[in-house]
Amino acid sequence: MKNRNLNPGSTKVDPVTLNQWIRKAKKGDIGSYQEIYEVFARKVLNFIYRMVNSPEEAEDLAQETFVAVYQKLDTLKDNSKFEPWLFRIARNFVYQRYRMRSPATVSIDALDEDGQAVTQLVDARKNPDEAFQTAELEDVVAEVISDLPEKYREVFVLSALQHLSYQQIADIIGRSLPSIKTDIHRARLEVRKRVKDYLKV
Amino acid sequence: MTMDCAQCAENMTAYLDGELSASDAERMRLHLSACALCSGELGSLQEAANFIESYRKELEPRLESWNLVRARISQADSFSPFRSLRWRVALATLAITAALALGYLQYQQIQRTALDKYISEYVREREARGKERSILANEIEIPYANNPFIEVKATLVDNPFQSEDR
Repeated sequence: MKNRNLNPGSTKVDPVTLNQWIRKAKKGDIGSYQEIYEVFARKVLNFIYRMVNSPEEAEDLAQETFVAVYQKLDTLKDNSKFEPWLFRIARNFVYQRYRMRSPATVSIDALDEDGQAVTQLVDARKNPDEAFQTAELEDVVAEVISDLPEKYREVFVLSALQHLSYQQIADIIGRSLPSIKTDIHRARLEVRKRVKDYLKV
Repeated sequence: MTMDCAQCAENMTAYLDGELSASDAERMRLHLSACALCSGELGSLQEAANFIESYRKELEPRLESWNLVRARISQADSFSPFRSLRWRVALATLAITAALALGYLQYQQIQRTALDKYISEYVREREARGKERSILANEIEIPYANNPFIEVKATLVDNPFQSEDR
């Protein structure tokens, strides 16, 4: 068995090669599926992570996603749509997990409503003197993203962090392109408002 | 034609993300070159995007993740081998072959029954005709029947099993 997964997600792949891997994986070639995994594992993991805010849970859901994707691969008609299809499955797992939980423990809605703790964290760091360190700024960015309303966070993560096209995002979320474009713009405005104080540093 | 400020604001993020068509992007550039307000707005959006990009922290998939995914795939396959496309195709082929074979056997059975019926009818008819013929044969007068030096044979004119050249 190959053991090249030292840095999964770091590889770029051209559409022709990806198409070949998908065709082989559909026939049960697990080696080709591993190639696909290595290209997308990191992107999928980080998308889920931004949605659930828990590294352990994100890891578990990412694994579930890749198992399901392999099992459903033969239902994918158009191989060029693989990436949005993959993210759509990941997104379904995220929402499925939240539906199974009681809203009192964790839900995306609860996170939105229960913004006080998060806001306090961000507020505590709003003093620029305390935020010079890179690690702290990384925390600020993480908090800003996690504090976005779910509707904006999702499109922001997919566009600004995972660099998917607007059309792909519309396919993943299942909404029209103009509506996605509007939400992405509003999300960017919201992020700018929240990081404004740090930009002056 | 250039954009106005409202159109420019609406398309600003799409412009930064490279999502505008070439003609819209050109109209946007024209407007930005002439509008300090919009160009300042674009600058601050870009700055915020750069800040996020610079300080975003990403998780790395764990080293053992692929092995876990693979193990879960194998486990799922062993519980349900008919999930893969190859198995489904094989299963469908088997089902079609079985259906065709059953159909063929059924067809043969029907043919055989029809043939049996035809033969039994034919035999019944032939037996009935045989009886009729033996009654007729008894009524034929055979000349020299008692003469030991002359060999005679009784022939039936309407015997369907006797050829004409005999």
